[in-house]
Amino acid sequence: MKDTGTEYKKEFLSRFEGSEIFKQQQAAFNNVFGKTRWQVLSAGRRKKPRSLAVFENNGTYSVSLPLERGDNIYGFLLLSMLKSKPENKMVALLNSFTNTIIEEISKEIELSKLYDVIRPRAIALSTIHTIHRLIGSTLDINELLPRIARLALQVLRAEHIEIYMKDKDTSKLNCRTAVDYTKTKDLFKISKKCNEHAKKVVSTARSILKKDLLAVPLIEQEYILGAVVVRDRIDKKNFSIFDQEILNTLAEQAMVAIKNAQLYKEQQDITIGSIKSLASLLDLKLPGAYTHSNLFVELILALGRGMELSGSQMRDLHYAALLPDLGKVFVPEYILKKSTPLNSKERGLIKKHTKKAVEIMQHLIGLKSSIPIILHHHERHDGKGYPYRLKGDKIPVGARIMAVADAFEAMMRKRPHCQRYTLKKGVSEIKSQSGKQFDPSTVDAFMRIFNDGRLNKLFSEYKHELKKVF
Amino acid sequence: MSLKKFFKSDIHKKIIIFFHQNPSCIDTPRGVATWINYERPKVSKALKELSKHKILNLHKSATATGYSYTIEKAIIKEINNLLNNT
Repeated sequence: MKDTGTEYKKEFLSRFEGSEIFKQQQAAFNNVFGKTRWQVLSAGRRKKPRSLAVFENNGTYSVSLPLERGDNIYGFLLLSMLKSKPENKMVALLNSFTNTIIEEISKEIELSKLYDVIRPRAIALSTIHTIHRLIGSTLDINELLPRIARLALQVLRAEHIEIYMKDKDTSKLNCRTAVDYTKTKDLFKISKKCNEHAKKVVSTARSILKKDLLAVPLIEQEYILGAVVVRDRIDKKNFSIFDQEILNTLAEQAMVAIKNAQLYKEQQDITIGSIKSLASLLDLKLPGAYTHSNLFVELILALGRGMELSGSQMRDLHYAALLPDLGKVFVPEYILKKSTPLNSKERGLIKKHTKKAVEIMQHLIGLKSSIPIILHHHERHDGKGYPYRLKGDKIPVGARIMAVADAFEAMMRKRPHCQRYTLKKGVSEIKSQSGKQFDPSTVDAFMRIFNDGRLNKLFSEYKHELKKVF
Repeated sequence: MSLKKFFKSDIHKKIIIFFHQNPSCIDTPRGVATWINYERPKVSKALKELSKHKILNLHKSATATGYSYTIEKAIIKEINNLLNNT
């Protein structure tokens, strides 16, 4: 065999000896020549090896065949101890068989080499793709940054990471997330050191590669928006240029996701700002008639979190909570201002406000998914609500939440024809309506907020708003 | 289930060996199923069990689930010992 490395030779021999074709041919030759011995010889340094040779040695015959493919001679196959001189046609046949074997073995070796080279790259590519999917679906920047940090630590097999972002207004570099797997280090000391490196990376736009530290910039087009600093590999080895390349790739991926999240946040802020402006405008017309208190909004969001709503459900709930009674603009002002009980015609007009809100909101694409919450927030769990008398789970979860918050706020608020409830009485009233007016799981979430003191805190914070009479 | 017990199951063992040999890898159940040449539902189940026992880390988002190798040195050492002894 041509000596191209011990491993290679071992593999060649093992494949040669294990080859099914070889076993079959060996059996065929044994039938013709009797029990023979096969050897694989090194090609050595012969410049021009003989292609095929038959020779005699102490009364036995041997056949030597080159193991060649293209211009390469891998070695020689020696068939020895033959009792008689093989005929030329048998030697030709042997040559043909050997060529078949070497062809098969060469293909196997090439495939094996290809596998060894391609597989780790395919795994790395799949990792990058998975990371892309894991961070690409997150639009909440507060959720995204820790996720990026954890994934980067995982890929680099490091113990500590910090992500720094430049403040939009002040350009000051802030550590937005820090993860330490060991939790044994003094985070303050690490931060101080990491911070210096982050500043350097941001000011120079160049990565830093040290034995125990790696820092790369977060670049969006030509702007440097921050830096990622990673420290200490878990196997205590030094960071390499390969690690730097990986972190750079991750930083580029992260930057796309961060930018998406920032744009999404901006869009959300614009939508919320527009709704608030509309609410302020309506508040000027008849204060408190079309809008709700901050207690109402905060309670709805707390209930949404308590019921583990998804990010998009929380967004829709938030939008709906800002202007649920928009449809009341179609209700004559004298009805809204009325301090005496409403007659049936007036109640009928009031009940139309949810459908009227839909008429206004359907033109606002960004608010479309909030429409069902507003439309159904006066439905009751027992099916006695309006406008469609929906029952139980048929009522959208956001509307079920809003129904509880709406009723609670109404009880807590000062109204001309109703007595204001105490917090305890309001909570008790909500509890008593579980399974009747309200969805039991929403009431359970409400009670959890009350029992852990959050409701009291919200009430104390916003009770001044509830004193306003309208 | 202890590590030794996981090593008695072929699919769990193959997954552990795959991540031990490729510790930087983060992949979905479909990806892991491809690398170890097993059916995806069986791989998903085994991955969940391994992550429950902290041998793998679970990364979950709204649209994707990824698994990666533990970063706990003690677990890695134990796996290394088991692999050397088998």
